[in-house]
Amino acid sequence: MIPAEDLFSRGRLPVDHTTAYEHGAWWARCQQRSLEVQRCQSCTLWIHPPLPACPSCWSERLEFEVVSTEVTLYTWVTEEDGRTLAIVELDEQLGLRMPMPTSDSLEIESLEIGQRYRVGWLGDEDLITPVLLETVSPEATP
Amino acid sequence: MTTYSMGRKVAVVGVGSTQYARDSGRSRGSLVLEACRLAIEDAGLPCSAIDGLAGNAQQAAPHWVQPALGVPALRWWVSGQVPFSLLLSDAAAAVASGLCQFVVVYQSAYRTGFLSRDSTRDDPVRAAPDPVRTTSNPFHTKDLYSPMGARTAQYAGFMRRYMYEYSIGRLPFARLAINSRSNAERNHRAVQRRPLTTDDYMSSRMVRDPMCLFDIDYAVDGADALVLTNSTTARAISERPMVLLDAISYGSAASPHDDLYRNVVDTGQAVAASALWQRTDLAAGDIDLLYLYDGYTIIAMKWIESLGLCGPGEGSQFVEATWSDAERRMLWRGRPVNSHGGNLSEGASQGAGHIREAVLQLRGEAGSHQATASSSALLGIGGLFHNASALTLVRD
Repeated sequence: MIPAEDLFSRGRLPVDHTTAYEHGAWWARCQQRSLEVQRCQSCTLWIHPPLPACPSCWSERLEFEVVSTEVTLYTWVTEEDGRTLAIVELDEQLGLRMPMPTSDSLEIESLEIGQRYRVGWLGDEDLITPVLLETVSPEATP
Repeated sequence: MTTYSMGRKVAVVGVGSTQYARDSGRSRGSLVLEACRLAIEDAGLPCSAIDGLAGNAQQAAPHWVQPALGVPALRWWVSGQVPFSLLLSDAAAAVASGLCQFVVVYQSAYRTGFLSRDSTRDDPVRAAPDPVRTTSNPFHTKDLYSPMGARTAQYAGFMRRYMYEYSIGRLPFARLAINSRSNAERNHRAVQRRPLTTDDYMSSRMVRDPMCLFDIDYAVDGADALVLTNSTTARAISERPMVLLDAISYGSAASPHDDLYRNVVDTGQAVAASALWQRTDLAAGDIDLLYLYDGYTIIAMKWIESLGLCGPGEGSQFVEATWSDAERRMLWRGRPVNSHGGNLSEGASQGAGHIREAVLQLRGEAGSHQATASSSALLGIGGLFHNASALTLVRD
């Protein structure tokens, strides 16, 4: 695991003092190409973006757990230059959502709210970020 | 059950506004001072009577304004954030509680590079970072978005989801944009006064798809200021028609994040509207004038629903039901909605234009665009998530 401090040390990740350690820990997992979400070990609530304590039971026993990379598109926005940000809903919890850009290989015109997509990874040794990669065909879904 | 104790105890006794302009050629402070001077003069007060200031330190700080106006002794001040209604609420509470007697609450709009890319060409002043925009929203979390080469989907993402859930097309949003423009045509202060057609809307460029150029407010320079005092003092100093703050509220949703809101119904607007209706004896059917903050058309659409003028998802039906083809605008009880042209067409003032206009209409001082005499106004000001507020104003 890449320590979060290393992500900040060379300016790879901007620092926000409110949540530097919590967000840094999430980014560190992304560097391992592992899609993880913080989960309360006391009440099992999934939390994203990461927080210092559970907003439901105030427990500070929060750990990152691996989540499914098959997600549902909630909404998206396309900038004038074509860059697109998707908001996806994760299977683990109703209303658990995560923003991420879309892959260049994904046709923006084909995007549909409610459709299933797979999350992949984008970037190099500087910083790896999650990306909405491809549609999941219905027959491929178990 | 409400603990609200400020009902009709605070009066607006002074109003001042600069002309709005695409490029004023002036500093932000110059605009603020002009609006404050006009408001104090309108109230008929000497500057020495002012003992409270409510403004925004990132625009023009109260302690810069105080000596620049020549206010000899300040007994209360606050630096708040946009929209204007939040500052208005702070200032009203200060005079209602007696922390000060006459407060000037002011706000300025300034066309920075954040709001208008065109503004930065050949203009290093406007190209400088806009401190208002980098600090007022806790969810412009740079460490989550900028590494992805992205910014929050925000209102455009909400708009797409809203259109999907209720199977709403683009026409109702075009109507809201045209409504504001048709009203701006009648308002000399407005900056965008060229008639807007449905074709113009439909063929305009997508800025943040699904949001097109005309769904987004129009960046301008300008400032507005109000003088508030308690209603007893107000009655003693003037015999003019008095505008009273009937009720005011804030609202932030359970999940006020721009992208990670719970759903398209339980917004900050819903929280603010619910509080407002508990604090006023008025009902929607009693209201003469409607002002729906239109920083984006989707915000105005949701205010219609959040204020209870119709049910969730029925905003477009409300727009159609109030639409006049002859006047190319919405009419509510025979009166225009956003009678000044809103932030879409008068200019992007974070709701200051809506509030100033409501006061002028209630006084009967709206000039070229004065509507039928009105005794009450309902205003939904601010966004969907973390900075919604609502208020009712009445003529005494």
